[in-house]
Amino acid sequence: MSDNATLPTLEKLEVASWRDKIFPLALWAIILGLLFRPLLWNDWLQIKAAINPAALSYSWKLLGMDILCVGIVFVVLYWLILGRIGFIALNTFREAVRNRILYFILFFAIVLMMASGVVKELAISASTRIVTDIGLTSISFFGLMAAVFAGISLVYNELERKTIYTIVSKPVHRYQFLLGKYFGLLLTIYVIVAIMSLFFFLVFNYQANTSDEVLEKVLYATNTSGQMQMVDHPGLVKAVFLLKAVVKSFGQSVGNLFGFATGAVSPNLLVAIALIGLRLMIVTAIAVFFSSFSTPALSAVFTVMLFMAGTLNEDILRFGMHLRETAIKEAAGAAIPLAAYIKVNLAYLAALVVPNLDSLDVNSEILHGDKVNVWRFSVLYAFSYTGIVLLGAILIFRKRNFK
Amino acid sequence: MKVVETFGLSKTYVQDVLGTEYGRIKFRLRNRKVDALKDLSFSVEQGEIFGLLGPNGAGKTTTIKILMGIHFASRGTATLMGRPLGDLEVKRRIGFLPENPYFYDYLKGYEFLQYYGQLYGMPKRRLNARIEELLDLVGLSHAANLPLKGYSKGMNQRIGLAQSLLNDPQLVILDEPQSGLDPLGRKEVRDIILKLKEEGRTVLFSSHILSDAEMICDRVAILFKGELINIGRMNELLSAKTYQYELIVSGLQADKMDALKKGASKVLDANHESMLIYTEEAQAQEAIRTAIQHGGAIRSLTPRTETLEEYFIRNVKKGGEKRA
Repeated sequence: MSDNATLPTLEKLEVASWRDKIFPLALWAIILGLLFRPLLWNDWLQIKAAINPAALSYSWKLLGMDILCVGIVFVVLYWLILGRIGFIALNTFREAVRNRILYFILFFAIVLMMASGVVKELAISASTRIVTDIGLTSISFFGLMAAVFAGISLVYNELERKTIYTIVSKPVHRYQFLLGKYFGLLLTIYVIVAIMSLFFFLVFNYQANTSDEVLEKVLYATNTSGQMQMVDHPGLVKAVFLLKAVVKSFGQSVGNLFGFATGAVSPNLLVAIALIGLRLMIVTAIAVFFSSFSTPALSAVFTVMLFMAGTLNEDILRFGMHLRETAIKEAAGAAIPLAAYIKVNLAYLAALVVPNLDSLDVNSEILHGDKVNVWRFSVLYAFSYTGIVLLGAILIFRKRNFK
Repeated sequence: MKVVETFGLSKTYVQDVLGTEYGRIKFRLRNRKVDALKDLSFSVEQGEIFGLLGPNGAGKTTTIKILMGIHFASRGTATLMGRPLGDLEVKRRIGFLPENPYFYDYLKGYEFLQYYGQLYGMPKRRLNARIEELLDLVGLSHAANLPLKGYSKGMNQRIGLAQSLLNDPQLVILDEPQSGLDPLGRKEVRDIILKLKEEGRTVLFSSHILSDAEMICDRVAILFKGELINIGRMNELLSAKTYQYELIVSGLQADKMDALKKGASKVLDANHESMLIYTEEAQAQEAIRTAIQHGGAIRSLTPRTETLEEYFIRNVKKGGEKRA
């Protein structure tokens, strides 16, 4: 602009130093870095486990990699938070923490996972499978609930209660507000996922630590004549053992939470949870996208519908391929009719627009004991899909008149 | 220097079927158009208190929303501190209090101000000192650690005023700062606005309570149905000429009263007193003489100059008739 030259220069104001920003940054870096750690080091861990299972224990080399991992996240976040995004995110997190409804979600998830320990008694075999199934399903389901609920209400509240008026009047870009909201939501949802995972790991490790075989070894000892004999005061011994098992399992679970495959938890399970984190990242972005211009009820419906369509994404693609094959067969060498051509391409388009949550779901592979392969492209896809959805939200939000 | 300047600012709201408005994205089905602001141009000089006055729906809030970047103008432009709207460097130097403010009810008063201070990028130590200072100024020191959920309407208004002053702004924009306050609170807000002027800040505020504006404004702009009716200094807008004399007398017989009533333009009878309104000074003096002669008592004589309220009613009525 040519008239820029005539604009008066404003004197420089004192602003906060990087020291004021370091705390929110560090919190972010640690949570995100550690959450995605198993995803990043999965192959490496699996190769190591294949060569030498004992080498899986934590080593200095691994520590160096963890620091690198957190460091990368830190640098990326520092670039993001240079504006006001971090403070808006932390305030969003604070709002969520002081909102009671999320505690209900958490409560139900934990009750369900604890109950899985009881349900497995009813199963004839494969008790671990039931615990894994219930655990992973409830983490993804309640995580989805939290993402949809929090994602929509926390953005909508700011618009409805007009707190956005004062935010916009502060030296904050609109995109910074929206991204701040998004990252605050993501932080909230990841904390919820982390708490649910902790209880899931706890049940899982406790099951392994107190399996019948282990208990047998504790309660029966081999006497001098080589016969199995029950120890003295078996009730007390069992009680003490179970108490110790709880403490041990808790320790292992905390380790698992930070991405270490200790106890009964395999790296695969950690990868599955990291992938749930990626799926929720997409769902939260979709929720923020819709609530940036629509009413909460509509946003919730759209978000849940897109989520469901997303889990069926590969079926949509297969449906398109099926349509194509049928059309070719029916045309019998002649040109495919326009109607069929449009139908096929609509199906392909739908598969392209709808998020591909299928490729980020390894729950069934884990349940069937298959080898878990995370296609690196899927991880990249999750980040780019999120980015595109957020970009769309920002574009709509940028020129919007607030009610 | 002109702190605020608008050039033909206009705003047309287009409501779509969902009852929402998304700026550029509009559903053209069954649209309802409302002209909220028509070709508004005015400027605010540095260091003055400028009042945007008008009845509800006059376009005061719309003007302020456009200046703050909450809404976008349909036509026309505006500058703040000589810069185009939306400039972050300018926003650092502006304080804003919206109409009927409502803030995060899960935060405590102190946390709320801290959060907003962080958005200004203020260093922690300076921010905390400033918060103490402002809580003292608006009289909320006792409620700093209470959640905003429990704040009354007046307290909300006060904490809103505090947040608008966090960054030591050069320009303060207040939308209906005195609404929802009791007379004492109104006086306190008035004093704060005057103090802001003393400190060399520019204040732009909107109000429909004209008596409050009358006391403190250097200049006012009067809006009606989105149009600028008049703008100028208070003493230029209001005629300084005394236009009526109000005489209150008592203790007169009814037949003696008739003589007084002859020259009066209006008579109001209370229990033992009568208020007589004269348009000429001579008539009033004559009436006083007559009243004393007949043994009546003079309670008061008040010469009246035009108030903003009367000016407003006169002009808005005229404007309304012109349009009707």
